[in-house]
This record gives sequence, C-alpha cells and structure tokens, in this order.
Amino acid sequence: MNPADIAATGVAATGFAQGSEVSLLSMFWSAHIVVKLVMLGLLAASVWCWAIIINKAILLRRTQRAIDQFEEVFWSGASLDELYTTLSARPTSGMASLFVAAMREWRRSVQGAATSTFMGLQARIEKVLDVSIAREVEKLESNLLVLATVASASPFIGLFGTVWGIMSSFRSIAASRNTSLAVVAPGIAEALFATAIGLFAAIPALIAYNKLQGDVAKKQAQLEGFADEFSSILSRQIDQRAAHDQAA
Amino acid sequence: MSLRDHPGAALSGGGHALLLAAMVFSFAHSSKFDDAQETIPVEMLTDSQFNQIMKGEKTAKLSEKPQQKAQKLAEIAEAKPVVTRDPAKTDVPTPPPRAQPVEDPGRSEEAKAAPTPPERPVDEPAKAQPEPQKAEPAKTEPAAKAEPAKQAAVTPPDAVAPDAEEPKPVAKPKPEPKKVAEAKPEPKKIVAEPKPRPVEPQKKPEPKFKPDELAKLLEEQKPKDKPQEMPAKPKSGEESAEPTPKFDLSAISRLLNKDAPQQKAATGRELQQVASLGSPTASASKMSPSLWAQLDGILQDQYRHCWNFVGLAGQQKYVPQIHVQYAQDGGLVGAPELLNPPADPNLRSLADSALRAVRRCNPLRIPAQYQPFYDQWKGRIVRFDPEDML
Repeated sequence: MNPADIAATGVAATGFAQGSEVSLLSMFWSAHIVVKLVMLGLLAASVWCWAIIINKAILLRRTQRAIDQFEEVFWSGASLDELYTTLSARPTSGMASLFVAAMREWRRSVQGAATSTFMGLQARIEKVLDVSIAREVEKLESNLLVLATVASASPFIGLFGTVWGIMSSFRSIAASRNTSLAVVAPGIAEALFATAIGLFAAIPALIAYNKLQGDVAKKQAQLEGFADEFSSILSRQIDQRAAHDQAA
Repeated sequence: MSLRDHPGAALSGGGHALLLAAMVFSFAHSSKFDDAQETIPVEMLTDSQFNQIMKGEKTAKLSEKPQQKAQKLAEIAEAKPVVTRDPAKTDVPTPPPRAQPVEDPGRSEEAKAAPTPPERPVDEPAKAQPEPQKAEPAKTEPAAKAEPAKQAAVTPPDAVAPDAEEPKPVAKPKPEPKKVAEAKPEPKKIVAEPKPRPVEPQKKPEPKFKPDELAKLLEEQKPKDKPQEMPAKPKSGEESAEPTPKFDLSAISRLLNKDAPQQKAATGRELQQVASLGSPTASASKMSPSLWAQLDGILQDQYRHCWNFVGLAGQQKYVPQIHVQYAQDGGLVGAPELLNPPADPNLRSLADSALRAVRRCNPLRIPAQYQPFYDQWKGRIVRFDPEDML
C-alpha cells in the first residue's frame, strides 16, 4: 500500500468519526464496495502517474545535463583515448555510453589484431552505436506507456464507478420509495466523485505523456546525430590507418 | 532504486496525501442553496392589447347577478341532471317531484294538494339567483295559484316584451306580493334575460294544464337550477334518499392535477354574452390603412396652412421630424419634440419653423370618426418635408 492510501485511510477514519453528512469521507465510506475499489484504484493510479512524471522529469534533466557536459568535453579537442580511459572507469549514461561502446569496439579491433584488416570494423561500430542508442532511449522512455494507459483508461474506470454508484442509488430509491432529491443526491454525489477522481488522474497523465514523449524524441535525435558524427570520425580514422598500413 | 535517484514515488504520495487532506477539510462544509422563490408566470400586455380587452359597450345593461366570466360552457353542470329526469316523465298527473326540493317542506305539501303545477317551473328559474327572500313571497302564492296561471297565460306576451329591455334591477323588488299575477311574469323575464332563449316564455303561457308540456319544460330547465337544488334537497322527506354522492371524476382529477396553473377558458353554466362596461378610450378595432392615409392627409393639410418657411436651403436634404402628442380633441399634449436636430446651423431655422407650425396649429381638427381610435393616433411623428408641404 502506498503512502497516499495509508494517509487517506487514516484521515478517513478520523473524518468518519465526526460524521458530517456530505463530507468527502462520508461520501467515500457510504459508497458501494465496487465504487470504493474504483476510487482507491484510481487514486493509486494517480499516485503512480505522478511518481513516473517526477522521475522522468528528473531523469530527462539529468540526461540533458550529461549530454551537454559530454559534448563540451568531446568537442574541446582532447584526445579520444584519454577521454575513453576517464569515462570507462565509471558507469556512463547518454552520449558518453555511446562513445564508450564505440571506442571499446574500436580498441578491441585495433589492439586485438594489429595485422588484420579494418574490413568490417565500420559496420561493427555502427551496429554497436545503434544498439546503445536503443538501450539509452529505452531507458528514457520506460514507464511512459503507463502514463498513456492511465490517461486513456482512467476516465472510463471512473465512469464505471459512477454508473455503478448511480445504479445502486436508483435501486435504493426503488427500495425506499422516496424520490425526493435529498434521498437521491448523496448517492449521485458519491458516484460522480468516482468520475472526478478518474479525470483527476487522467488529465495530468495525458499532458505529461505528451510532454515527456516529445522530450524523449528530442534526446533520441540528439543521440543519433552524435552517433552519426562519431562513426564518421572513426571511419576517417580507419581509412587513415589503412592507408598508413599499406604505405608501411 | 534509491530515494535519491527516484524521488517520484515519495513525492507523489506525499502530494496526494496533502491534497486529500485539503479536500477533506474544504469539502466538510458544503454551501447550501438559497431558498428558491416561486416564480410566477406573467403575461405581458401592450397598451393597445389592454385597451382591446377592456373595450366595452357604454349601453350595456348592468347585471345585478354577479356572474363569473365564462368563456366556455361547462360540461359537468349539464351532465348531472340527466339521472333524475325519469320520474317527471312517468307520473304525469302529479306535480313534478323535481320542483319540490327547492321549496320548504311545508310548501311542497301544499303544492301537492294544489291541482295547478304549471307555475312551478316558471318559479324555479327565479331561484337561480341566490336570494333568500324569494321563498317567502312564493309561499303566499300557492293559494291563488289556479287563477294566476290563467292570467299569466294572457298577460306574459306583452309583459315580457317591454321588460326585456329594462335593466334587471327592476325585476328585483318582486318580493312584495301585491299582485300575484304581476309577480308571475317577472320571474320569467329573469329566465329570458341571461339566457338567450326567447322561445321559452312564449311556450309556457300556451298550455293551461298540459302536464306533458310541463314535464318537457321541467326537463329543459332542470339542468340550470341543478347547483341550487342540491343543498335544498335534504329538506324534503321523500327525496332524502336520492342525493347519493355523485362519483365525480373531474373532481378527483382536479385534486390530483398538480400541473402549474395555466390560463384556461373559464367555464360556467352559461356563456357570458353581455359585454362588460369598458373604459371609454378603449379601442377594439384597429384603423385600416386607408383611414391612416386619410388621417395623414388631414394632418398634413392643416399643418401646411400653419407652416410658412421661405428661406429654403436647397443644397441639403433635411426633413424635420417632430414627435407630437395629441389630446383627444386634437390639442397638443406636452411640448412637440424635434427628433432629428440638424447638424448644420443653417437648417436650424427650418426645424424651428416646423416646431412653430406645430404649436400654431394647436387644436387640430380631427374628425369624429377617428375618436374611437384615439389610442392609435395619440402620438404621431410629423414629417415636414418642404417638397411635399410647400
């Protein structure tokens, strides 16, 4: 159980003791068990969504900062070998992990078989870059689908709770044979509360999903651009080495 | 998954808890609605509509009988008496039993003894008016009933005709039983007046003692006295069993009906056909276009004579329009008002001359035929077009 629900139930207990007619808690407690489940589920979905949103926002900001730092170092003209030795010592993320993966492949080819040709090295490096791009992007956009799912499903779930609540309040009208609004209103209010929670969960989820999706796509484009540039640098190196070897 | 790297769950959980707590407190008090006031539908009437409604005849008779305005004949009032009709048909020789409940028990015995029932139906309609005194003069009559009936047969045709024109109040002082023969025709008049049924008074005198006709007459008139009879009934011993409480469907539906009150045609036992006395300025009909054109011509003709303006500034087309209010005799009411003051100071003299013309023609001669339509021409906008007028 997540903290919000604990808090909710804790507050609920105290609120119910006061027993005011139309308060939020009495509305919750007098609801049918299905409606209660729907409300709790939607509340949990909302908590989860917000957790994802916060984590993703932080992650994206960190990634952006890391990319900026790395690009600064990379284009500063320092030796790539030195850069590789410093970066490979600790876990990397983003562009740096691309660089490390490609350099590792490069070094392996150069050191492992000094006499061997550079045939196929270019293709291998590109493969490695592709794979690490995919890994990075996957890290960035994991859990985003949860947001999309919550955004599209929670209004329906809330609507389900509302329909159920109205159904049961109509049944209680039929049982009590009293149609005055005072009898009907609490049931309908509690039913509508379910839809309200559904919308409360769905709206931020939808907005954040669109925003985060756009940010991730931007990062992916940055990574792909860097990969292309880096592989062209490496291919130039390969050609120079090949020419050098032939001359020697 | 450290809290430092992924603070989302904790943050979001805490945020939701705070939000819930805030909502619990803010929802604790729900504001009550103000007590709704009942709305009453109001129909708007324009002045002229009101006047049309109030239109009346100056010569209408004053009716002493307070009638409810009836726009529609009631169905229920006529449906009731059908049940009690049969006894009158069957025992012809005896006086009609329907008439009895109206009078006091003592009288009804007398009536049975007397061999002359014909005046009974004649008498009854008179009772339709809620006058308590009528029973007393009627009681004195029965002794002399045989002759009065015969005399009544002779007198009514001439007596009815003049009386029909008289206003009803004349019929009222009847209670003094000076001459029974006189008293007789009068009740008939009252029957004849409110209901447009001139046939009955002539029918009645003809048969001296024809019980068949009597029964018919009775049937005809019964429907009308029904409501008055009902309360009187319990008095007579023999009929006490008859007034079973009627199962009135409409009464139930009236009780059940919870619809908002709407205007319905007022129903009554008889249509109200006499025009009420309305206000004298009320106008029922509207002026026809040709009347309008004539009136315009008359006004323009008179204003043309009052208007003299020479310095015509021809370059600009300007037609002063003056709103004038007339009294019923054609005099001015209030000051004439220039509706379109000219921007050009040169034209001001033209406007002033038009105003002067209106003031000079103060009592306009307005033909009498327009008097009924005063409401429609009391406010006019007069155009002083130099090309038309000069």
